[in-house]
Amino acid sequence: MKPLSDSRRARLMQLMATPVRRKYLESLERMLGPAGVVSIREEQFFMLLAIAIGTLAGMAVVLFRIAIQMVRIWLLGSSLHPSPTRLLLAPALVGLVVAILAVRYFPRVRGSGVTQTKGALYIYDGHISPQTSVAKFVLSALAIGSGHSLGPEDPALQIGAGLASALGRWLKLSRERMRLVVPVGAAAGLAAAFNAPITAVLFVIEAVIGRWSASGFGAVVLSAVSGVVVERWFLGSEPLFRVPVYRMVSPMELLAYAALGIAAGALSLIFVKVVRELRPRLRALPTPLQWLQPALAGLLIGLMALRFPQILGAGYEWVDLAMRSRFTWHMLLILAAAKLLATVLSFSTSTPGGLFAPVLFMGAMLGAAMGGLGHLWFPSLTGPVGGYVLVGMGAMLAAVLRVPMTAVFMVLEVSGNYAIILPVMACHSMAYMVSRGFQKVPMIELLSRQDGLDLPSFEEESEQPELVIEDAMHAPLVRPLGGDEAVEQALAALHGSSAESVMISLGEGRWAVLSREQLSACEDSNARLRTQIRARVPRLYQDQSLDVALRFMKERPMLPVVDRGNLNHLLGVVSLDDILSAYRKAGLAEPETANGASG
Amino acid sequence: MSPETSICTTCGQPLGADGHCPHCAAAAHVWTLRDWKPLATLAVIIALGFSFVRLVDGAWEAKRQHLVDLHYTAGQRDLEQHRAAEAVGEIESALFYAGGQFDYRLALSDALLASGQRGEALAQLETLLQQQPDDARVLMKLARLEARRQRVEAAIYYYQQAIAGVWPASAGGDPFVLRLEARFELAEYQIAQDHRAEASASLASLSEGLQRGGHDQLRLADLYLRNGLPQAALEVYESELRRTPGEREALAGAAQASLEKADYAAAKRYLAEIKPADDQSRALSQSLKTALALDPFAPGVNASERARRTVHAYRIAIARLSRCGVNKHPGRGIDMNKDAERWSSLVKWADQLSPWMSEKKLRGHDEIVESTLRFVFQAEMTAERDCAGGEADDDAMRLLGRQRLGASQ
Repeated sequence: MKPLSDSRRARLMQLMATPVRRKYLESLERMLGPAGVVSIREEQFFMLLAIAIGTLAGMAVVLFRIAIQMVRIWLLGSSLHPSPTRLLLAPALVGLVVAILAVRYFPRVRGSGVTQTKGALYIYDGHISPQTSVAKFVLSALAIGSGHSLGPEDPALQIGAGLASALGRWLKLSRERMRLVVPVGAAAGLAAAFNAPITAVLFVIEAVIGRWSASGFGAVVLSAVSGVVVERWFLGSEPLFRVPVYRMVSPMELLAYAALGIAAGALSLIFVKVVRELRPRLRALPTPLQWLQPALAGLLIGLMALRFPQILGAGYEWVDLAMRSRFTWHMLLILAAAKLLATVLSFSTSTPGGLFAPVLFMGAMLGAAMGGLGHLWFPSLTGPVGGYVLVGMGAMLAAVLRVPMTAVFMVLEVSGNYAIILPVMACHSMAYMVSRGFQKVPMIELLSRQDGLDLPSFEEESEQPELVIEDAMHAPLVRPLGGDEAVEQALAALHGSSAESVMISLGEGRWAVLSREQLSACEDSNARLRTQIRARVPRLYQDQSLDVALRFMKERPMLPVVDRGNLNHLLGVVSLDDILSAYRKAGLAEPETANGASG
Repeated sequence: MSPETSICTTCGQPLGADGHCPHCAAAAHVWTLRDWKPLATLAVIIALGFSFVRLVDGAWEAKRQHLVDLHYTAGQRDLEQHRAAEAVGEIESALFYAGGQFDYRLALSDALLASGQRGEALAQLETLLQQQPDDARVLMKLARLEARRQRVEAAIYYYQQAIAGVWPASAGGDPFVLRLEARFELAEYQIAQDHRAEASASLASLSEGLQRGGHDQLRLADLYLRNGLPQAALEVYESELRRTPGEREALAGAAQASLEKADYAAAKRYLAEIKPADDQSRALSQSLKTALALDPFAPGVNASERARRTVHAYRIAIARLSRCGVNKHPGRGIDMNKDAERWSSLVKWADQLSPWMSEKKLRGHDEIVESTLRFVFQAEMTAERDCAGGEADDDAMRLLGRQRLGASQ
């Protein structure tokens, strides 16, 4: 499309005499843009790209889920109760193959995928190699399909991120966009794997990005939704669990939910502490022994599965049955313990696969056991077991991965029932408190630090005391002057004061600063202050972060802090010295690490 | 907030006076249609990817459906062969590949029930009911399950809900017939639970919905008989006989109904029409003879004979009690099961009557005769309910009891 020539435009304007037609022509011209072609800015293009990433990631996850099922059928048979021979051979042999490939050729596919994705985001500017993504797909499908106690969500997250990264590089996105594109792909992958877009978005914010950031949020949401739409297109809209209708029978039930939270917190502590101790020890062993670790883990899991086949793979089918009181409470407790052991074995030996599903499984079994006990001891005070299962899953997620918001929204999204919010809050807060009380470093950070990476943590960042301008500002040493006052008056105000500058109010919330030097240099002492001002200064509010003040400070001697309700009312002023002094006082001027943590 | 204090949402840098971020504007790439190559390639990749995934998904879908059928068929076969534990495993596998479909969940509840896992089956059914509250198949299964758990009120509630519920096409039959079956089952259950008044109401509503003639009418009449309503039963049998004279089942039923009404002549007449006689008619004839021989109030029986028959009836009842393990003396040898109180009172009653049990003492004491016969009927009916081992005389006594005491028992 070529731009219109002047003569053609004039002729067109004649033809389009009415205002409506003229407006149409003008908007057409705007759309054609300066280059004479339809154009969109990178920002807008990024939104379209997010949809494309979501679509591709959704398709990749569909293939990934089918691959896991096919591997499972191929290796373990189609029955949920595989034969002993298959159980003893499949996880062990696949463990050996996966270990050799992972240790020798694809070291970045080991483990869950969340820490690797986070590392790619913060260390490699969003770069994830296509080989890593493909290897993650194949090796995770093999490991999970063969029965290793791991889930598909975290690998799906890494596969989505890898896909997005490859697309970003191919489209030569800017460095900033490349960093944004990784969470976009991660959210799409996780959303498609878990069939829950809100949970995926929040998990990516809490666990991958590690901080609240408005940038790219829209793209993350768009890609997550696209991923889920594609996944449902192919695999149907059946949820992972068919959650029974929830109802709270008695407020006394909240005590049971709180007890469930404590139990989930305790179970999470056992899990995290065992992984914390075992994983580095196993990783420190010589390479040939590392090859054998997943095989040995597979053999042990196979042995356990002879009695408890429920521990194999992600185990969602059993979670679904547990919601319907399929097992007795003692069997449920045994299953939770067996799954914990199996997951520790699989995960500590760095077998590729995710933690999300096993953690949910443990929480579900614990919740179902608690619900079963409630029905046994207080039948008239206990609601349906399904509610306990759901809340237990969330509690375990909140406690192990320390993603409390994700956990709350996961339960709400999966149940589609807002009435469950009270038990969720009672249970999750207890689980989270127990976990935090006895395990300072969250699981994901723990793993990344064991891998030698120091990545930002949502929890640690939110614990940093945020300094606001109120912490640094002080009252102006000289009263603020109006723009119409004379230079002479300003000099008089400064006389006898240690202040080196004065605030000038120009009305309508606009402010400026004049220094003693500038005022002294003025030839006409009767001149109005307004005429001496070269540039205005930005105003600040006392509740804003000190960081904002630092950014606006530049060469300015001080900045005005005004009342939000009256922009002409000066509450105080803040200078660079004030800001640094406030940081020093808070002990944040020289953090030991980027996160302010000791590592 | 003024533009001066706004921050770019992309890079976090302060925005310029125009509200735009100078930093991002400088770095941003403007995408135009001239960049069609990567955009077109991306579109092609998506289209190709979509086609490929569709192909794979199609193959997986076929495989999945095959596995569902395979495991479901195996599960059903296991159920038929009474291998309930294996059936549970197979149906769970089918359910896994079927994505938790309703019908397979229903099948799983059957398998769980068959394997004795009633609690699990109940939980499954309750979840299914939440999913489809009007599904009559679920309601029927719940009714049967509650009936097995001796929760009579719950069972009756679910039966009634099932009758009013929706019978889907996958229920395997004509919804009208299935609903009728549910009505019969409810009536039978109420009769078995001795809820005679409720059963009468169920039978009345059942009779309104039945077509004239056929097997269902005979079933209805049989239920009337079992519910202690021989007159209603007789009317149905007679109606059937008018429609198809000589119908053996109707004749036998009419004979039984007449017998229960103590209309021995009519019973004899109906029995005589059954030619050639079969086992059922012969048993009925025997019952008739026995009843006639034992009934103290049979036509033509004088006071002396009535007293003799009463003493004989008393002995039959005492013998029946001892066969049930109940000693004549209270507190000794009584089977202290759930109805121990009733047994104790029977034994006390027997002890009170014992001194009167001779023809001589009974003669002229009709009130004692009456009381004795009441004791006999009560003992026979209690024994019939709580312990097995009744003989022909006991059957005849119960028959006479039903005639005398009617539905009050």
